[in-house]
Amino acid sequence: MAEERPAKWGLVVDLDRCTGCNACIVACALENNVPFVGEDEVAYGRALYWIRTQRYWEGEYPEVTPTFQPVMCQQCGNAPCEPVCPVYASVHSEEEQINLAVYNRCVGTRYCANNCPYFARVFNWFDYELPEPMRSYLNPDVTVRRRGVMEKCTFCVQRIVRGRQKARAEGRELRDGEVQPACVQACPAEALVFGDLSDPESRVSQLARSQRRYHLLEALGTLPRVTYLKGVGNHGG
Amino acid sequence: MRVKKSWWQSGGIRIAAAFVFLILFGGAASGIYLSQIPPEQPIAFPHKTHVALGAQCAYCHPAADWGPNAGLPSLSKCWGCHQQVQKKSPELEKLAGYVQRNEPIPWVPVAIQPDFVKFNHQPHVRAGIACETCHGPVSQMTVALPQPRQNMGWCLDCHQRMRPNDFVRLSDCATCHY
Amino acid sequence: MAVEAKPLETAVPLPHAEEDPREHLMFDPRPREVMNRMVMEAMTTTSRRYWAWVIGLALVVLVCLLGAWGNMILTGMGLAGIRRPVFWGLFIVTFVFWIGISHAGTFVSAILRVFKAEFRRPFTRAAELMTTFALAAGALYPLIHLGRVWVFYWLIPYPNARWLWPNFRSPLVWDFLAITTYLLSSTIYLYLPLVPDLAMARDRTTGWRHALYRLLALGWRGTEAEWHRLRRAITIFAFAIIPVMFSVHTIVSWDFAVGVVAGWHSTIFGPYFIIGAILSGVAAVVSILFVLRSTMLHMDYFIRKEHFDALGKLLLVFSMAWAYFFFNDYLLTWYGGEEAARRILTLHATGPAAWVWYLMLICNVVIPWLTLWNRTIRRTPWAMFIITLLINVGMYAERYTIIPLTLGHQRMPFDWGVYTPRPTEISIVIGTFALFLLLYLLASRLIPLVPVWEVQEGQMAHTLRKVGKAEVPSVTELE
Repeated sequence: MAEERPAKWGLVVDLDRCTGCNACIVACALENNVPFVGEDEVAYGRALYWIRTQRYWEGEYPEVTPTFQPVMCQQCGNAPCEPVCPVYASVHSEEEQINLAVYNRCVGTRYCANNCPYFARVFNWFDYELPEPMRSYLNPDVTVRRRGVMEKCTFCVQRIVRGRQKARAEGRELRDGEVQPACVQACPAEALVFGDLSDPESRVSQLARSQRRYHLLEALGTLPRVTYLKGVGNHGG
Repeated sequence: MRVKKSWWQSGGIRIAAAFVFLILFGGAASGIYLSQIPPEQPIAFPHKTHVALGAQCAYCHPAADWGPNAGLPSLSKCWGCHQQVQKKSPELEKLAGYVQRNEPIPWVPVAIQPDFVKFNHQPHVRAGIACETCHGPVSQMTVALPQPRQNMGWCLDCHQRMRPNDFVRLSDCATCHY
Repeated sequence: MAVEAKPLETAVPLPHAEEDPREHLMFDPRPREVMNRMVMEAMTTTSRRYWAWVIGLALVVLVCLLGAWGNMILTGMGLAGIRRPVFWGLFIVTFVFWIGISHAGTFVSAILRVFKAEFRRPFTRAAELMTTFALAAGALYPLIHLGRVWVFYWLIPYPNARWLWPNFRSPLVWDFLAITTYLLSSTIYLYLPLVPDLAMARDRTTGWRHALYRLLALGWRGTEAEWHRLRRAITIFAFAIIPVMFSVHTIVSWDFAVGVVAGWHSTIFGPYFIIGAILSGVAAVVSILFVLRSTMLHMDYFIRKEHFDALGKLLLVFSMAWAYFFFNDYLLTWYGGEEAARRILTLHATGPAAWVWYLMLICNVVIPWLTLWNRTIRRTPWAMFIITLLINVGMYAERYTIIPLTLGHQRMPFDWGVYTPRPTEISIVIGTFALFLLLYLLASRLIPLVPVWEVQEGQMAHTLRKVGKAEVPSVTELE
């Protein structure tokens, strides 16, 4: 088998295009079996989201405009969550160059969650049972987490693995845009673009070179794999 | 004054007895751990006979070549052969019964992995791993027997032996867990 | 003047000496057998009130600790009030609190032993017991706060079928190793000086107690060779356990300091935590001594006002040292002007939970500084009891400020949140307090709480000599 180029998966979020429709959140929850925790728990701040839209208001009432900022795990190259996990449940993938959340290894110290400056990690406070017919919605490709386990955005690693296995079986390389996380697939405004950053010609690489680019909390040196494109103020952004 | 101790009070005997107990106990425990009881199947399917007649694994479990699960043959695949080969046997009558009632055979899966292990047959088959490597000598089994000690170390051991240069990649957590 | 270096203020007799040197335990010797009897009597006397406390505390442990914890294991961590972004709450606060308390025994026993502070003699054992039991209570918390406690053994390095090891880069693994080491070494350090006293108890008891002490005394006969070895072992352990003690709370502080969390990432956290731990630990020793003195027989002979006085001075020094580190940590971080850290510090002092921050400062600084300089207050046991309890309240508030109040307001304002403890975790915290007291109560009637041989050794070294008309205390250098 030919030696494969290790991919360096990355995501670009164009804040100028984000309308704050939250389709990404729904798509993510369904793809990744993210449980629904109920109103009370959400109100208490225990909602399980792998991606969330941070909405800030700008200006003084009544002259206010909302700004939306989808935030998911930034898949840091130098991730603060990784060294603190005592059991390697939060570990850097050599293969995918992303941060993995190994649910079956997690013992639930929640140290990674404290140490994540983006608060991208969520915890299964309880077992969230789905009522019977809804169990059929569960995605068989993703482990259903039980209580006491941390979880977070994985860039839909199940799709990446599946896509690569398919490409390898067909004896070819992955095409740009062939693998897409659920949020990217669901985004109606194409505010999210996913791809291989190690390929300079991929769409995501081209966008990530934009002059509007920035990273969240760049000063911390976490080397995020998610690039934001600053909104220029046309519609929020 | 030394009090005469009875023989079972001497240290050597006690230590020896403790050793014997530990060996027996350890043997029994590992025996229970290593012997796995195959589940009751609706039909006592003789793999032995079918393999001896020249049937390839992939004839009945073809999905191993393109997907995660090897799959089980459908009723029509069984019946495709067996409506011609009508050897009298109680097991085959059971099969005929399922065909008459047109209901699928409720096979009990034997080689199962926990939910958090995402095993895919395809890359393994494509890499030329023989089925017997993991499933044991099926050609000598009647019903499929579960293989003992198929744990994470067993997977990693094989990955390391077969592809030492690729082991960093193949020992990545996301290879199996996501 | 060399005498004055000892903490014996009355070394130089004043013209109108208010107190007799005989007020000091060391100058008020009694025959060994009398002291043995007193200790044995204190150990074997139980009142109805004692049993009521034992049963009450056992019930609290059963319901509040085991019941609530069991329920939480079966239902999920959500029963505790923690939530995003405050992932660590009362459990870790109380964990740090107990590990802090556990520093008292080692400090009082090992450091004061190494520096030959004579006032330590009657209560080294009481302090060492505190170390062991506070560690036992504290070591539960890393388990309690695990989301999946049933796989806690994954933190232990051992070869396994998964080919996996714990992550030695993680402070939690350091924690695990440090606490195990400290628990083991402090238990041995508690046990070693106990052997002669256990032998003493063995020779004066019958029945099940005799059988127990015979087993534990390891056949101690009191020969010269045995004493020689025991002293050497104690000296080695006293020196060896001091770095262990320092390492434990330093590593606990690293749980926070190595993080990227604003307000935690401080280079001074190691010594700051150690000073806080010793402050709270010594304060807890004083509280316990007051209880022992007022409830157990003959304890007023062994534990005297002079001891409260001496510990009070130590407390004042440590309170000042704590304030110094606090000042360094807060002022310099604030002055550094990193936006997130600065906002957190401002929030501590002005936010909705600012009362915790002020409680910390009042209890740890204002109260000790206002009271402990005063000799009369230092020599009033009940006043010292109240002050030391307040110091521990203050230290609890310090940990509460550092953990949940800091976590709730990190760099992204969208994720800010407030944490309120819920009944389950409060119940578990109460349960471990009850566990500590229960273990202490039981131990106080099971092992001689005063190291008689150490007291006697001290008394033999101290004498009053007549110089002219005045009686001058004199001390023989030991060892």
